[in-house]
Amino acid sequence: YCAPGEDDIGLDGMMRLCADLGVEPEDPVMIALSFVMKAENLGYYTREEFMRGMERLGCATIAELKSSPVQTRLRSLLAPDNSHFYELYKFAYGWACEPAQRSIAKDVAVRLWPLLLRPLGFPLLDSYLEFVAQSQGRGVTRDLWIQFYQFVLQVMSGRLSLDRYDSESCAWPVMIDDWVDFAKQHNLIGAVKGRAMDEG
Amino acid sequence: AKAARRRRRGEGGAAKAKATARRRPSRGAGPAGNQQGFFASRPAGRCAMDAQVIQFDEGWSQIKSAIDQLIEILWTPGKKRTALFTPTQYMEIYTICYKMCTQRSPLNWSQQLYQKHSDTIEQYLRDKVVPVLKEKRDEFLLKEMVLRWRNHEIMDKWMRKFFIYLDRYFVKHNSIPTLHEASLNKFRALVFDEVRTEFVSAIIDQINKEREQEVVDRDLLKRCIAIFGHMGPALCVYKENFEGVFLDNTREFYAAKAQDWINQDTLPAYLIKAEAALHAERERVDNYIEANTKSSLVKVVEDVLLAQHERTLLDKEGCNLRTLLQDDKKEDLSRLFRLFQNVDNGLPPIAAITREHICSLGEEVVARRESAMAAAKTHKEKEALDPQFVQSLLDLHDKSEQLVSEQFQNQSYFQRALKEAFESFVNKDLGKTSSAELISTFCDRILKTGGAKLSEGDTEQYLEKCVRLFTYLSEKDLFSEVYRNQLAKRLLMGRSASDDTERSMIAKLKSRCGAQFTSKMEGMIKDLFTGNDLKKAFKEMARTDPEQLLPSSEGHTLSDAGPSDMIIVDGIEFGVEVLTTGHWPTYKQVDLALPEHMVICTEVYKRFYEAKTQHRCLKWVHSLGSAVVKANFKRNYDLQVTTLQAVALLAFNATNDWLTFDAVVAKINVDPEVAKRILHSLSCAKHKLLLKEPMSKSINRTDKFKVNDNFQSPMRRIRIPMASLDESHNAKRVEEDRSNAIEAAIVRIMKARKTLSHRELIGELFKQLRFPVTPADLKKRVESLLDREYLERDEADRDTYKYLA
Repeated sequence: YCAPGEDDIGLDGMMRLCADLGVEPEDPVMIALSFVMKAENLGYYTREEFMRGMERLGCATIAELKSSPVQTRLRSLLAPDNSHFYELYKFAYGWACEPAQRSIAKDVAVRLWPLLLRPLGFPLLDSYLEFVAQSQGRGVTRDLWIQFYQFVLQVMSGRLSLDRYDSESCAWPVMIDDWVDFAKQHNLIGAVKGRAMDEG
Repeated sequence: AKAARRRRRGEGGAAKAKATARRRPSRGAGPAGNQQGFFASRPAGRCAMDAQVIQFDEGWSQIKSAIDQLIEILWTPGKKRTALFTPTQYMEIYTICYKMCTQRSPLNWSQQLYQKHSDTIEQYLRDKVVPVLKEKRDEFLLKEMVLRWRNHEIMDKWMRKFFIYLDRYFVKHNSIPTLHEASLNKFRALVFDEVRTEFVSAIIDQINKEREQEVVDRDLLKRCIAIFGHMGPALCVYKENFEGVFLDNTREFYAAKAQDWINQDTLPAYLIKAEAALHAERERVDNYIEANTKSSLVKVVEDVLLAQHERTLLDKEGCNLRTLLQDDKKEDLSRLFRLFQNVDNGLPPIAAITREHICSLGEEVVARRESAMAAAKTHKEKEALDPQFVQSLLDLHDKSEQLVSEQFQNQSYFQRALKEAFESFVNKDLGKTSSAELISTFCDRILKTGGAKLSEGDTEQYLEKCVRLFTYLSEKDLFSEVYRNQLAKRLLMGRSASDDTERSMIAKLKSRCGAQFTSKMEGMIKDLFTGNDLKKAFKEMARTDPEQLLPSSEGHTLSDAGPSDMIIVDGIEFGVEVLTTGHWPTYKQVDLALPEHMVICTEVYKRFYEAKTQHRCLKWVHSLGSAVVKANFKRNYDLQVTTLQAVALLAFNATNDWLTFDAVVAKINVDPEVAKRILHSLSCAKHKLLLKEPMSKSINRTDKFKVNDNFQSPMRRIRIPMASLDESHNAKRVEEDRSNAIEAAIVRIMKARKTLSHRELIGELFKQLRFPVTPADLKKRVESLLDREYLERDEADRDTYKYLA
């Protein structure tokens, strides 16, 4: 899959790889694959990373990579109750950063988040993503990335109540404070309450 | 008596020796035996001075007759009470007593005599005195008591004198009460205790009468109270029997009065009455009550009249504390303070109402401004409102300070009330311009030339007052920013009225806020000061080493002639002011395209500066420069303009034609916005040096300009002002400084505490930061520091932060 003269799999190679595997480039399974490879950056794999990944998955060929046991294993990493999920989630941030950057751009975050968090079933995820997309500021910090996941967990488990949300005493990031205000103003909280009660 | 005794001793020395009681008198009564053999007949009228022994009955009957005499005198009104017995009479009785006490046992009659002393007094009191007393009531009782006590004192005195020998030996050796004590005990038990209750109430009745403005006999009362003192040591009888009753009675009396007064009187009238009552009670004590009671008495009255009713009084309908404050009733307020000063917690409620009062006055000032601003139509009208507003605040402050110092003795509760009140409305949102700015501008007017015309004393006073007002601002850093900008302008444009006043003002700010607050301001003044040395050096170099500044090979001329801070290059006088960046506000960078002859001047200076200093870099701030342009419009004029205007004018030397706006912009290389201001000042203001097409009031990019050949003015030297390029202050900079301050504080706190919860961190920050912030502001700064890895969240508890070294 390398480009001629290069040692890494670039964007083109990636596209071909995805095609061979029968998945869309935006399929979350690619994130899982990158995680296993410990790929440093989104969009390309180094030889080392590729080899590492194949080895850990116990695959010698693409066909094996495509096979369902391997695919299932990869996809299982994306399940929120998987013990490795948090690792993967945290990994995704660094991986999605531009080389030599510390934080990811807003629109990257907004596209990446749902790939990982959709399975959690947070009813207001889209509202949040929209809010982030049209907020000021250029990027999403690592802290916000991680804290949002914690936030969703706590809300879904009922530990955190959006009704009684107090931005001053809690240490949630300002973006989340602002979004909760927004959600309250637009009477969206109800959806969460119902869901949380179902779960809890 | 001693002398007489000595004589008698001489007469019958031997016989006396036998009967002399040099040995102890014996206890127990001697037998009242047959006295015939031992009784010597006594010559009438003369003391028996012989060795004859005295039997009890005989001796006693003599003594008794003297006592009866005494009693008779005391009992008969009108008889004189002094010198009741002649010395001779007295000596007789004394001697009998003496002998009877010194005879050998069983004839030593000390015990019996002692008993008789007691019994006689008792009998007298019980049979005669008490019945009379018990008949009397009220004032009569008091008078009678005083009389009877006086009598008793006399009786006691004589009884003691007669029986004094007993005191010396018998009493001492037997540890029994002295004669005086014994007689006092009798009086107290038999007389005083009998009528005590009525006595006390009679006194209190009199006191109450006096309280109701009736005249009473104060002297009588004084004597009555004195009796208590005599009845027991250290006023214990007084305290037990009188004081408590008296205080309770006082309490009742004034409680009733208080009710009446509250219903009938206004607050000031009530206070006057209360003060009078306190005064009367104090005076009463001074006059006839024991001094010890004063403080308890005053406390009772204060409690009943003042403490119990404070709230009702202060909020009374009609005339209450608020009305007093509003109407400036100085005397009533002073009285109120005086009275409640001594009451526990009496002052805080008064201070609280005072604070509200000042607050409401302040809010009025703010409201007036708002409505005036809304009503004002022209820019000029609006501008005039600013100094008026500050002046109103200063006036209010003067008035409030006067109130606190005169009426409330600068007591700390009231000083705090004043401070809190001012802090509340001085920081109210005034819309576009904050109070901080307005106060600074007010000072600017005082400090610059052509501003307010004040004497030196007045200036000092005004600035002092402004600084006091400044202390109430929560946005002091904003004030500093504005003040700095205005100071810079004054200093650079030479518009500062007095260097000393500037320094004095900075010193005042420094003493309130510390050196860091004023360091930049001081830096600015220092720059100008050291600038003088630099100017001298520049001139010196022009004189001594002109080659270095301007190699003559380049065909220009340089001389050190001209004013002290300038040199002449190619006929142009020019001088430079060097400012240290960091001290001064940041100014708009204008990369003006100077004409060549001006460029040469700047290069000359650059050479000088590089020779004089190392590692420094000069940046020209043309927007601050000024120039004098010699112009010829039919006759010569000297135009005082800014450097920007000068360069613009010189651009028109090239051609007599119309120049478009864009052409001018290109030629002098400034922003269009800046060019607009320049050209406006030259073509649309009072002195139209340039013609503009079209002749509108404002500048548009499509305008054209040409020299106005027909320009004229009666004056030769004309100043052409130009609108300032910079804002009054850089709001963004204030924001930045605040952000930095917050972050520095967070790092400082976290470094010290290592681990801190979010809530605790926010709490600490609120304590430490000196300008207003919201929790959201602080959170943003924390996030920024999290991202830059100064802090991290705790693994276990995401509400806690840890310091990352």
